Amino acid sequence: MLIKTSRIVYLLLIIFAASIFIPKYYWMKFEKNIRSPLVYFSPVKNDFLIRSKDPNQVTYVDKAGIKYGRTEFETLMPLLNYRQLTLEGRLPDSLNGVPLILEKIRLNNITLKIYPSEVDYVPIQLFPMFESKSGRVQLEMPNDYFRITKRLEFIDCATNSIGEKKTELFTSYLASKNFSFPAKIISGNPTSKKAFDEGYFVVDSKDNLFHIKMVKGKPFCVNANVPANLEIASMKIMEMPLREFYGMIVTKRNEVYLISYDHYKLIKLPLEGYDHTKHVLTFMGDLFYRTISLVGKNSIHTFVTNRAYKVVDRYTETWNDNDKLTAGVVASYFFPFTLSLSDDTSSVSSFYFKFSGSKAFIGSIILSVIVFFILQKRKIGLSKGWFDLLLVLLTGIFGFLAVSLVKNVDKNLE
Amino acid sequence: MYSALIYKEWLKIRWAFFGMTLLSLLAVTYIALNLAYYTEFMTAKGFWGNVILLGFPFYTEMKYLPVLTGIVIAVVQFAPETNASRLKLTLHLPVKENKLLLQMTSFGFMLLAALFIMLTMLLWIAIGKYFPAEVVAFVLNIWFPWALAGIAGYFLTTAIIVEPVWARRLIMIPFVLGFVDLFFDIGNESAELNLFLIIFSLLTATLVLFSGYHFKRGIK
Repeated sequence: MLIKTSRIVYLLLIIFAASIFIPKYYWMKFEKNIRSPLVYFSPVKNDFLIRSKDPNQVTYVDKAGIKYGRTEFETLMPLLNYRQLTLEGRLPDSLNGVPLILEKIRLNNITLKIYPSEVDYVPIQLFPMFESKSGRVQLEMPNDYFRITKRLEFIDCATNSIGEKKTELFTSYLASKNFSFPAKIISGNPTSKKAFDEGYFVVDSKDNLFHIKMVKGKPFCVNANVPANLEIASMKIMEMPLREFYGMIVTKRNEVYLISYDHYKLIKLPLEGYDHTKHVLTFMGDLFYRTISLVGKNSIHTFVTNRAYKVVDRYTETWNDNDKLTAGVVASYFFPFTLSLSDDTSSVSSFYFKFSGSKAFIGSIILSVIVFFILQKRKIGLSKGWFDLLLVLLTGIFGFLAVSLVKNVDKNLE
Repeated sequence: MYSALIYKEWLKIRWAFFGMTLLSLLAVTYIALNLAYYTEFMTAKGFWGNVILLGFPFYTEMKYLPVLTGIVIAVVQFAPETNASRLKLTLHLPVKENKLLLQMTSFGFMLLAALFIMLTMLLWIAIGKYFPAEVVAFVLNIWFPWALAGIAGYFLTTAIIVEPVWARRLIMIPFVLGFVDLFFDIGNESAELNLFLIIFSLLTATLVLFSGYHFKRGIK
């Protein structure tokens, strides 16, 4: 019995390793790098310009199919390419009646990106609290880091001990603002390489959203008064000199909100079909428009809104991903499933199964028949060999490898 | 009987175990020195920023030590046994052979577990001197699968060594390598994955029985 168990563990080990490595090596050889198209919205033509997926070609196509070269593209996207146009003296004085001033263009050009793996990522829960009004040009890293557990504790880097005075100051101030400890989510932009500091947005234990920062050594804490049922999954906070919004909220229901500077009023982005576990969200803003794209493995959905976040145009394109190409079709016959312990869409190592569906079952049945004959040759009857057969039926080529490589246990010798 | 057997195992293992323990202690000492060095030269807040915000890995010296220790212990414990089929003598002792093999590996396992627990505590103390608990937990979380690889590496190496037929060893080796390699390729594991790896690593202890069965019966 023990020997049989031992053999089963061995079979499972082979199947486990094989279902990870064989598909992995297969795809290392056959995977094609399929790029998603880059989608722009021209404020000159008020139409989309789509960059071709071929990385060696710098050509753009509009919705009507007319091709543009790089120079034309730059003319049609003056705000994106203002530096090149300025260099060549081609930047127009005004566009749509708005004078094009370099300073204004620069201020209004913003980009934000949210990857699926960012949404479920939990960093080390220690953060630097910057002095947001130091009167200095550059931000400086503080000498302590904070955590929000039962209190808001500052831990001094040099001594690795809690600074009680500052801790007490912040904790009592937060408590006076009805912050309920501990924090569920703390999100900020903890780098000193930014223009200014807006501190952190913190979800407390009662799902209230607070804006917390330090101003001249004193705590600043404001309840943003967001709806209680928002169910925030993640936030992306980024200080931008435009000062239109602090950052983005992604909810568990796949809604995306901007936290505006106007009393933290939430602006809902009109994104249908967003799935934060699948799509990379890119947000590009300029003087006139917001171009928001949801980029998936085999599709892109782009929404263009005006500055009031009303949709003015949409673009959708789908393409075949690797699963649909020859290599993928072949793989789906060979591998009943593939296993990976990591995935692009998550920061967590776990079991990521990809099942091939019914096609692979044909292969599994054929392999089971072969195994049936192998077992006969080994003089193993169905009463003893049923488990091997079941294994091959369920795990296809991986189980076949395991069973054909590992001999059965001979009852007479056990 | 058991204590005599354990004494025999201890005689085989001890020098290798002392050697690997010493090597591990040197590695921990090196990490402790690194902690002091970086704190001095990056300044404490610079070092904290690098570790907390950028994930600076100051502990990578520990990565392959447990698996190396596991392999070394398995080799010194079982290579002399299979050499000239001496294991056959052991297996003819009046103890059930499965029990005997498991007793032998359980001794190696306990030594390794003790060593890894000690290393975990030393890392905890060294890192805890310079960093808050959050960072200690973060590093130990990364260290955990590396230590587990030492356990799995030990059990699987014994199975490979006890296996008498080279052809079967050659089949075993790539899958074992692939399996153990997984422990070094993950991070931020989900609870299910961690649980699976723990259970499966312990289950690999039974693999030596399958090899032992081939060994005793001389199955070609």
